[in-house]
Amino acid sequence: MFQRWRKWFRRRSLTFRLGASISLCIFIGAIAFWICIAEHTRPIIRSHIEELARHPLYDVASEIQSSVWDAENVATTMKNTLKELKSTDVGMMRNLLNSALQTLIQEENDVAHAWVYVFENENEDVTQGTMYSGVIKDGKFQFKNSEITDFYSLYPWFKEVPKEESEFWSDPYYARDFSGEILVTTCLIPFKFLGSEKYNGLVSVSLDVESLYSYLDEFETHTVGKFMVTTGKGDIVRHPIKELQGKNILEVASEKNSPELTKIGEDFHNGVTGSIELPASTVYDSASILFYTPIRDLKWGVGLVFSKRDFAEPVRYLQIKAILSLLFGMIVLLILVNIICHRSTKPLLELSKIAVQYGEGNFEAELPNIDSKDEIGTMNMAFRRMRDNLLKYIDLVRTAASDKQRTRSELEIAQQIQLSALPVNFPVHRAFEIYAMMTAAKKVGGDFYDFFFVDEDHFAMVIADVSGKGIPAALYMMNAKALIRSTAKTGAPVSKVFFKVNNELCRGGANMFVTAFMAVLNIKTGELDFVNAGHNQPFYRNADGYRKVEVKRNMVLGGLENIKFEAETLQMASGDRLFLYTDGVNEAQNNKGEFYGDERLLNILNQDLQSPFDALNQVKNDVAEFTQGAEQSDDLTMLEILFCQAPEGTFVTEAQVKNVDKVLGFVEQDVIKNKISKENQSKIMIITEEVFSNIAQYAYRKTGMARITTKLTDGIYYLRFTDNGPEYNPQETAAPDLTKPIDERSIGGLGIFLVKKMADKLEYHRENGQNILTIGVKVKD
Amino acid sequence: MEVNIERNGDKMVCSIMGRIDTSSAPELIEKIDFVNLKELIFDMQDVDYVFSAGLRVFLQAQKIINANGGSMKLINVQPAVKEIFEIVGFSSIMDIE
Repeated sequence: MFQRWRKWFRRRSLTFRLGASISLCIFIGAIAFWICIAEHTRPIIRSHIEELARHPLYDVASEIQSSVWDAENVATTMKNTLKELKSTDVGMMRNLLNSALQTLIQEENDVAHAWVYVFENENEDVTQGTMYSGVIKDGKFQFKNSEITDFYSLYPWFKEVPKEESEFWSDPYYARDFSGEILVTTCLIPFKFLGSEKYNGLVSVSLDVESLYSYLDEFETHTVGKFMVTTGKGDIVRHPIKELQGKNILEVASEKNSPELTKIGEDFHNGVTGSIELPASTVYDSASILFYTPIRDLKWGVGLVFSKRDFAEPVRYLQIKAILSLLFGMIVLLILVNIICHRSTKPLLELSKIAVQYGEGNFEAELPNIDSKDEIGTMNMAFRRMRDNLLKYIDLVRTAASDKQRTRSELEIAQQIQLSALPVNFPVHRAFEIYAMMTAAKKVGGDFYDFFFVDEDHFAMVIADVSGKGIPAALYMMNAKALIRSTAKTGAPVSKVFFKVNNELCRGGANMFVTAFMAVLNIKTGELDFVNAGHNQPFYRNADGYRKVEVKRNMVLGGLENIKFEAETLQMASGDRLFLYTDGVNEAQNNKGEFYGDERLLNILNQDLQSPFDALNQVKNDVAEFTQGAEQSDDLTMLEILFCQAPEGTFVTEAQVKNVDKVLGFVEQDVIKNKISKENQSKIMIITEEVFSNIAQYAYRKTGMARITTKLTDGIYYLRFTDNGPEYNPQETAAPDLTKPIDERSIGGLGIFLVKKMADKLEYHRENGQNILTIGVKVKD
Repeated sequence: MEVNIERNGDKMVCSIMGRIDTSSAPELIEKIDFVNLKELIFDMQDVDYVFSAGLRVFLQAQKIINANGGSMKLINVQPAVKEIFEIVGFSSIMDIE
C-alpha cells in the first residue's frame, strides 16, 4: 500500500511533489502548534478561571457568613438579655425584639424576623409555649404575640435544637410571615431566665434566604459561572438547573452514578474548600468546572460552576482564527511554490525536449537562452557542452568507423587474410588457360591456391591446405604461400623448392603443417614438373578423359626438417588438363553424413568438356547440390590448367596492332570454314578488327595477351574477346554525333560505334581480372 | 594492304588493294603528299574491308584537301564498303561513287 502510494507520488510532477511535501510539513506543524497551544493554554485557562471563580465565591461566602454572624450576634444578645430577666413580660419581649431587629436592620442585614419562644411549663417541653415575634415591615417594627401549641408539628426540627447555649441553624423552610410565606433559615439559641435551672425558651433570628441569594444573583451578573448551594444535609437549595432544586445532592449523585457529585456532597457536608472538573452532562451538557467553599456556621456549601463551553468559547475562537490564518498562509505558500516550481521546471521541460531531439541526432535544435546562474543555468551550460562534445565525438566515431570495420571478428579477419592472399587475375595466355576458385567455409580451413610465372617460359601453380583454423592458420598460410612463391621464383626445381620451404616452415616453430601440391608448366614444351607434399592426388585429363593420377606422396610441409621431396614429370599434350583440389571438394558431406567422393567428382568433370572456368563452376554447383544446405565444413578449393597451343576456335596473341592481320586471318578462316555469307562475313570482320585493335591500343600500358574465341551456336556466330586490361565496358561508350559537319567530326569513337551497328548481340562482363566481351552476329534466320 | 599512287601535278589517283585496318591505315596517309594537291582520287576497286582506322584516314584526307581548296573522290567502292561509309555518315560529306 505504502509502496503503491510512493510509486504514485513519484510519478507526479516535480511541482506537485514539492507542493504536496511543503503542505504536509505545514499541516503537521500546524497540528503540533495546535496541540502545543492547547496543552499550554489549558492550565493557564484553568488558573485564570480559578482566579475568576475565587473572588466571587469567597466574596459571596463571606457576605453570607457576615449575615450569619450578624444574626448570631443578635440572637446571642437577645439570649443574654433574657438571662438577666426573672419573669416573662410581654412588654419586655417587645422591647427586646424591637431593639434586636433594629440592630439588624441598621446593619442592613438580611434578617426576616426574630422571635422569642417561651415554654409553657418548666420541663423544657417545646410543644407548649408562647411565641413573641417581631418583624420589620415598611421600616416599622411590628409585634405579635401568639400562643402556639402545635409549633413543633410545623417545624419538626424544633425538637432537634440542642439544649445548650449555642447557635443552631435550621434548614431553610417556608415561614409564615406577616406578609406571607418566605424562605428563611433560622438561628436558634435556648435561654434561661435569671435563676432558672432549666431552659425556659428559645430566641431566634431568621435570615431571608432569598435576600441571601441576592448576593449570588448580583455576582452571577458579573461572571459566566452559576452558583449552586446545598445545605449541610446535601439538599440543593439553589442550582442553575431549577428542576434539581429541593433534591438531595447525594441522591442525584447516585441517580446519575456520578462520583464527582458524591465527592461534592461530602465536601460540602464536611466544609471543605476545593474545585472539581465535571464531565459532560453532570451539570451542563458540556464539561464543567465547579469551585466550592463552605459557609461554616450554616454548614452550607456554595459552589460556582463554569461550563467549559463558556470559557472555552474565546479560546476556540482564537484557535479557529489561528487555523484560518495558517490555511491562508498555506494557500499563499502553495501558490508561490507552484510558481517557483513552474518557473524552474519550464526550462527543464524545454531541455528535455531538446535532449530528445539530440537523441534523434538533430543537433541543430537551439538551447533556450538561460543566463541565470542557478542550477537550471548550470544545467543549460552542461547541455551546451554536451552537444559540443557529442558533435566532436560523432566526428571521431566517423573517422574511427573504418578502423572498426577491421576489427570485426577474428574469423572474418582470418577469412579476409585468406581471401586477399589469393590471386584473382587469371592470365590470358596463348599456351594455357587457367582458372581457380576457393569458397571459404565459415570455420576457416586455411586453404589456398596460387599461380605465377617463374620466368617467361615457366608457369607455376600451387594448391595447399593448412592444418588448423582461425588467424594462426591464416597467418601460417600467408607465410607458406610467400615462401613457396619466393623460393620458386629462384628457378629451383620443384623438389628443391619444397625442401627449402619445408625447412623454413619447420624453423618457424609453429605447431602447424600444410599439405601442398605444386606444378610448374613449361609453356613451350608442355612439360609439367610437380611435387606432392601430403596433398590429395590430382586429376589429369588427356584424350581419354579425366582420371586420378597416382603420384608420389611426400611428407607434408612444416612437419619435419630436412625431408627430401621427390618430384615427378608429365608431358602435357595440347588440350590436356591438370585439375587440383583440396579435400573440401571430395570430402564435402551432406546431411546424411555421406561424402561427395572422387567418383562423383570424376563423373561431373567428364560429363562435358568446358573451359576451366565453367568446369570449376560446374563442380562447385554439383557439390552444393549434393550437400543440400548442410553447413560447409571446410574450404572448397580447386584449380585447373588447360594446356592449349592451338585449341579449336581459340586464338591467343599478344595484343598489338601489328597482330591485327593475324587475328583477322584467324577469324576469316573460321568464317569461311563455317560457310557464312559475304555480308555477315564483312560484319564479323569489322567487329573483329575494331575490338581487337581497341584492345591492342588501349588495354595495356605495355603489352598483354588477348584471346579470341569463336563459336557458332543456334545460327549465331559468337566472338569472345578476353583481355587482362583494366575494366572497360564498350557499352558505356557514347555514340559519336554523325550529323556534325566534317570539320567538327572527331576522329575517335567510330570503331565501337561500328561494332554496335554490326552486332546483333553484345554482352560484357568483368570476371577474374578479365574483360570478357561477347558479340553475336546472326548468320542464319 | 597495297597502295599504288599515280600523281600528275595537283592531281593524284590512289589505288588501294586489300584491307585498310588499324595497322595499315597510318601507312596510307603517310604515302600521300598533300602539298599542292587539289584533286585526290581513291580507287577502291580492290578494297574488301575498311575499318574505323581507314575511315579516320579518309576523314583526315578530306579535311586537308578541303583546306587545300581541292576535291576528293572515292571511286569503285564495293557495296559492303559503301555501306560502312553510309553507316558512319561519311557519304554525305564525301564524294563516293
